Amino acid sequence: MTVTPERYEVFARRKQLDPLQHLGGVMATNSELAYAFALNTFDEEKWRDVAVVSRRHIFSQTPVLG
Amino acid sequence: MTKTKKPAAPEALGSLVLGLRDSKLILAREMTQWMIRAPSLETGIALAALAQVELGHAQMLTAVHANEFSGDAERAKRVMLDDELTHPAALPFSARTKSWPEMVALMCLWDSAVATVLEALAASSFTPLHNTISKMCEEESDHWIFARGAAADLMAREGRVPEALTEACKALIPRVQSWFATIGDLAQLRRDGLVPDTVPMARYASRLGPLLEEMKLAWLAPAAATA
Repeated sequence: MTVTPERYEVFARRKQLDPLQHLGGVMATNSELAYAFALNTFDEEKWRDVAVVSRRHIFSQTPVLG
Repeated sequence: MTKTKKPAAPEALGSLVLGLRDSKLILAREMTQWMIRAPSLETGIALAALAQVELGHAQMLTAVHANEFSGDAERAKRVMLDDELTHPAALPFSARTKSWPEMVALMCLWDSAVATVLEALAASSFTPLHNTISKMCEEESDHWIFARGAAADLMAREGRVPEALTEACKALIPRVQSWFATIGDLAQLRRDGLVPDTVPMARYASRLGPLLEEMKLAWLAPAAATA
């Protein structure tokens, strides 16, 4: 059985009251790994919060994320 | 608890610090070894970052040991990946891992064990340890997420727990139990009031429990560590 990595979108903020900003994406087979990848890929800033969401869980009528 | 208490048995605490430092150094070596052989580019990047953190921690622990226990400030200057290992608890881990499942098992079982002892020491009444190790624990918190994610990745790729991962964990369990037993006498440090935490092993077992359960393996805490 082969599991294909899927794309996770990465969001982060510097301070508690900042809005989450979209940083980009990582490819992973699960959310824990995606989170770990995100922390180490987008480490140019000291983020207060980092979150990942699988692209397949984002709903839109238009292709908002390309 | 007052954060100024001096250790009653400095040599025991100093040895524990050296053991943790050697363990961190081995973990850094392993991560460095795997960062160019990792199963994906992202995994390699993550390993490079984690190795850097482990090496930084080895440097900090070396400095604490030199400043508080050995008085040999010269040793604290620079930690290198190929520094000689001295602590008997860490030596059995100095052989290189041969496969990615072995490396994942090492991060799940042993990196977590090192983190568990660090978490206990972060609450130490011995100020130099408390200050240094609290910061390390913050930096260490995402290591477990990476290890658990890497294990889940291996399982997802095979659609079941890979035999190689189970075998690697099975082989590691007695070594990690032995590491807990020889890294230092946590019970004595608790009696001396240096480590208030009474349940580091329970925390370790609860963290590892679900993963080991998936492999039909069990963790039995070594008696010395739970006393």
